[in-house]
Amino acid sequence: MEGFVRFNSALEKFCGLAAAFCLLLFTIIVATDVFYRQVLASPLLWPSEISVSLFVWSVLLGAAVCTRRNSHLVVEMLPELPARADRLLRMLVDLLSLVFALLILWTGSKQAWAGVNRYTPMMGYPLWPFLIALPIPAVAMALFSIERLVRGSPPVATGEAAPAEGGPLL
Amino acid sequence: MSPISLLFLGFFALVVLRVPIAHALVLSSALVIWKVDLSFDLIAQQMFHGLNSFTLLAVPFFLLAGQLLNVGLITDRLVRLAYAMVGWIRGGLAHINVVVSMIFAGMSGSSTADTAGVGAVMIPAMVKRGFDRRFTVAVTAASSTMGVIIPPSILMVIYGAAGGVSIGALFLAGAIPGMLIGLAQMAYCYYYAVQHDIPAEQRASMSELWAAFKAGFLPLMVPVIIIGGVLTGEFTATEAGMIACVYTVLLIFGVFRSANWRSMPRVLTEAVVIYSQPLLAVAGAMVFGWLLAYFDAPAQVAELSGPVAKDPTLALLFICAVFIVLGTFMDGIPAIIIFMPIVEELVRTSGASDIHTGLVVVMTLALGLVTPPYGLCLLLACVIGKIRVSEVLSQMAVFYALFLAVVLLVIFVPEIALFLPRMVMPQFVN
Repeated sequence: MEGFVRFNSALEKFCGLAAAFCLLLFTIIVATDVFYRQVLASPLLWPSEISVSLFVWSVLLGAAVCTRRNSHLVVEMLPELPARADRLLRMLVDLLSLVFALLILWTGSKQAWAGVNRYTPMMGYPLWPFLIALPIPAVAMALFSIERLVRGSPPVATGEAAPAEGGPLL
Repeated sequence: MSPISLLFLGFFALVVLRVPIAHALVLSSALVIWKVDLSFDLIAQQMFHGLNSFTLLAVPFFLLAGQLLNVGLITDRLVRLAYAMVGWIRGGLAHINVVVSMIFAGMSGSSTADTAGVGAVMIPAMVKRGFDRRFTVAVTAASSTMGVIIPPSILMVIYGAAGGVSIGALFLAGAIPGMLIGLAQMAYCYYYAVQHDIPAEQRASMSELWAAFKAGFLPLMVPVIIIGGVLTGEFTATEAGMIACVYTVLLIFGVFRSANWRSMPRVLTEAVVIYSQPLLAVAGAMVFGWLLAYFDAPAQVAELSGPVAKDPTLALLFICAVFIVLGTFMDGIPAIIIFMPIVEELVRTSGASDIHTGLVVVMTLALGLVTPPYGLCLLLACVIGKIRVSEVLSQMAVFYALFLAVVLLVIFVPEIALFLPRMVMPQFVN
């Protein structure tokens, strides 16, 4: 169990940095694109498909990080519940979070598998590296959900957890 | 139960049980897919299809631009500029709060970055100056709604992309209504200052005003570049967002040297974590929206709403009411994606202007940023001001009323929104 938690901790860090790297990379790619078109007047073709793909990767990786940090934003409409009911409810939410991850993993893998011999419309790149942006981060989401189910998740973030971490960065 | 009601009921039930919005959208869709025996492959297909759009890259860019302004202490320069401009008015700091938000709105397109940046500087300053903490937090939250109304605006980019409406024209349409909201808030701040006997700040001398303007001049070029580029068609809104980021990076690392390179991995990671949440909801909203369209919801809504669907003003009032409710518990971006087909149907049947409608939707969703239970800017301002949301609501009431008054004014007098787009880009205004 301890090993699992340590592994997840490292995985979360990796997902976060990988997502940040994707963001950095697609920013640079879009900048290059605009530079070639506006300044050098010789438009490039490759940037649009690559930058959008990196963006999709960053969203899913970032979402995986949110699953571990429990910082997915939720709506507080229920009044405060007794401790027992609250614990049960959290377990239900974690279970549904696992179902969500598995749904993406399952349908996303099927889609990626079907895309093995397909190519992107503009540049003719193989399609599967674009498509696995759904199922691969979903594996991390599933692992994080299982960890929460087993350990009992911390109190729900109501949007107040994020700024405490990010400070004035938000 | 009809599939459409099952879809909505499932979604609401999950949201009430504190399931995150993105998850609730996908899970309720999965339930309907299972019930009516459609293919589950839809989920991955629509989620991927929804995210696979160049326009959506504007979301990370405009958010990152706002964060960079904060990290690089550019917000502080803007505060100094606003101080010199409006500090001399009675209740000075409150006016500064509003005016800084207005300027910030022209640079970032994200309201949460506005709340965080302006709040971190202005809330402690206002409390120290003797303003009531509840009022301080309320002004900070309420003024940051301008972030998505005054161009550039993430919500307008999404609306333009989802509805095929000119983003440039939407940007222009937001300028006057956004400033009206700011002016209305300043008027109330003045009244509040008189009531509570809060004095003005010292009047800045001409040389101080000039110094503040010089310090803020380079950052003030950001909105000029963005709006100018989009309006002249030199680059898209997404590219404008990227340029705002690159320009800000050059400013804070090259010119002002006000930020540290080593903070960048953290800044980038936090940015991704923040934008991944609404965008995952966009992916989920695509599945949900696909099902709504599959079961022909837009036509049904238009039919059910009867005479409302025939008159532009009534249709806009109806859309406004619906989005106020949606905004209380949902992010603006997925709300637009899900309900765009219905809005389009109402625009078609009533003959309302699509740009006018888009602006009303965006303004209404901006109000959702400060209404509980899910009002990101309000939550954030309360965290910074170390106060509970429930304590601020009495102070927020006036700001809600002011905001709604401006929205109604815009609905009944379309020219407020359409004047600028009609003048600059008449080809996009029908």
